[in-house]
Amino acid sequence: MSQLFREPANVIINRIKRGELTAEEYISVIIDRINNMDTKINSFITKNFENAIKRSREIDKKIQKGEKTGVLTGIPVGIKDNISVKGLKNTCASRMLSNYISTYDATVIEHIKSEDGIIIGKLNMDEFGMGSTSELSPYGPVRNPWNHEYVAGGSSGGSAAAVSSLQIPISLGSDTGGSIRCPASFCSVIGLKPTYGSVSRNGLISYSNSMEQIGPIARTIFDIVPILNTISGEDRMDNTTVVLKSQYRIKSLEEILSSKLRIGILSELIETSEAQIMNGIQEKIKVLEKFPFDLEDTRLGILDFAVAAYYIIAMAEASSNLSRFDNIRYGYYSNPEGYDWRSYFAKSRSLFGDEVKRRILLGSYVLSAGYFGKYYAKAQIVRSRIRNEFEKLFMKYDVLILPTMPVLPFKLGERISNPVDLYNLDLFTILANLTGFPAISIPAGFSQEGFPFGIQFIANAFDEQKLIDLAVLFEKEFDYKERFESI
Amino acid sequence: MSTEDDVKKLCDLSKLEIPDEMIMETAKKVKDVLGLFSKLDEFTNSDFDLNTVNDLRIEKSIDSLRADTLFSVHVDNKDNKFDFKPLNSKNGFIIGPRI
Repeated sequence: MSQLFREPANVIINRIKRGELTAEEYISVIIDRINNMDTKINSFITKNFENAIKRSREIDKKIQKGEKTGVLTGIPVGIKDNISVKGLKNTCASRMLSNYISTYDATVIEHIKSEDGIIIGKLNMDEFGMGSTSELSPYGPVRNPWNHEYVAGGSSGGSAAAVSSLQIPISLGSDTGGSIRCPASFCSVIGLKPTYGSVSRNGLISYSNSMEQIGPIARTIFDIVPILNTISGEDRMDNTTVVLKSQYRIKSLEEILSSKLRIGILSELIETSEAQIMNGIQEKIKVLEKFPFDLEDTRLGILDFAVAAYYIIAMAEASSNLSRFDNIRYGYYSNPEGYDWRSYFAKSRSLFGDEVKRRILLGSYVLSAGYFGKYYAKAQIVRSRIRNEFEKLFMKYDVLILPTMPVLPFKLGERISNPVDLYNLDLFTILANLTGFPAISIPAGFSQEGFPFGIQFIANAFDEQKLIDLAVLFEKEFDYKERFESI
Repeated sequence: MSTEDDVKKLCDLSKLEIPDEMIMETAKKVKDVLGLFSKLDEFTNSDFDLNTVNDLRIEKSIDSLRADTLFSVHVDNKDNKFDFKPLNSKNGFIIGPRI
């Protein structure tokens, strides 16, 4: 019983549904695990244990009565702290919102609850999702489960580290420039950024709303599929969402192999990665050659401008989105006596962290009248060009392969003082956000020092099923589950 | 846009307070990031028109748009009720700009 936390969600769901295990027993094991592990990892900001136990008892009652239960029956799901859960703190890892309690559930949370999933707590992150290491949190940095002196990646570092350290089987993150896939790569878990418009953003605290998406993180693709089916689909509260044609599913190997996937390999990007990542990914690609797929080297022509374009658009949107935190509509209590409106607004915003302030400053600057054409308009043109290039590639290929991150996890504090250095590391992940296409990071192996790295697949819009098919094949071919024994 | 004075002015415009001891460091980091952004200066593409962004054509220059006028407000002194009707409305809905 005490080792139940090692089991994937799909196994647990079946056991609870068959009556071999109660939801309450499982939740108790998970709570013990979190209490033992999270002092080392620091992945939780808010724990929701009391409500989780209460909810698990309700689910057990439903099963005893023979009522139908949902696809996430009894499964604890961790939620990134920028997704609203009614009655729980929603801090976005910012002192600005340290006492803010959500008054409603995000649409994805409503769906999880209706499928009998259990919200176990809110997870640590970079402040407002601005970062790629999960160090920029007033609650302290998230630590990599594979080596506690190293970063977990970000900004959904808490979501990935909690799953990787076997505290919870599934979590939700949000991905604006790789915030799900980067920590998934650094922590050896699977992270999926869905197509823009396939998952509702209602209830997600916006940072850069033209690029961000909520997505799942789990240890196996077999757990990604039920949670993805749960959160995907049209939502009247988010006009960018679309009706999806069908549910995602795990296909048999024969079915996957008969689909004869056409795979483009972005060799240029693989070769610019750290040597161990390059070698590891090339080895994996060699294994793919034995399957009846068409593999071909290909390249993207406009990569030089991608990072600049991404950060200009993201910061411009951030400066607009974060202007709502003015202590009038959102923020914290602060006595306005003695201030004019302008100085009160500036004072109330002083609780933003340095990185957030810098992004607001730069966002305001690139949108200012004199520089709009030089920065923002040009960045949007680059974005259109990148999307056009991808569309052309997807006429030829079903899936593109590249590394998730060009580097292995690095030491806490090692790169924090140089923002440009960190921004440049995002090149491989921002492509899916600029274009809106779906992308998945799956574990691709470990370095000699024992650090994980990931391989990334990008597909055409709403082709998540192809990413799932390839991930199933990879998981069957290269099983890294035994590595988790060491955690 | 990289001196300490520039950053102070930008803070004022963005309504942000940055402590004096942080201004120098912020100016340095802002300069570094703008160096990254200036990469776009090398980007030229004659196929794209600066007035076209994501397939949306900006048809009017900003100074050609009409000046906003105030609502016409009618105050009913008897019931002490405001009865105002926005200028650009139809069937109770405000008519927004056309994209």
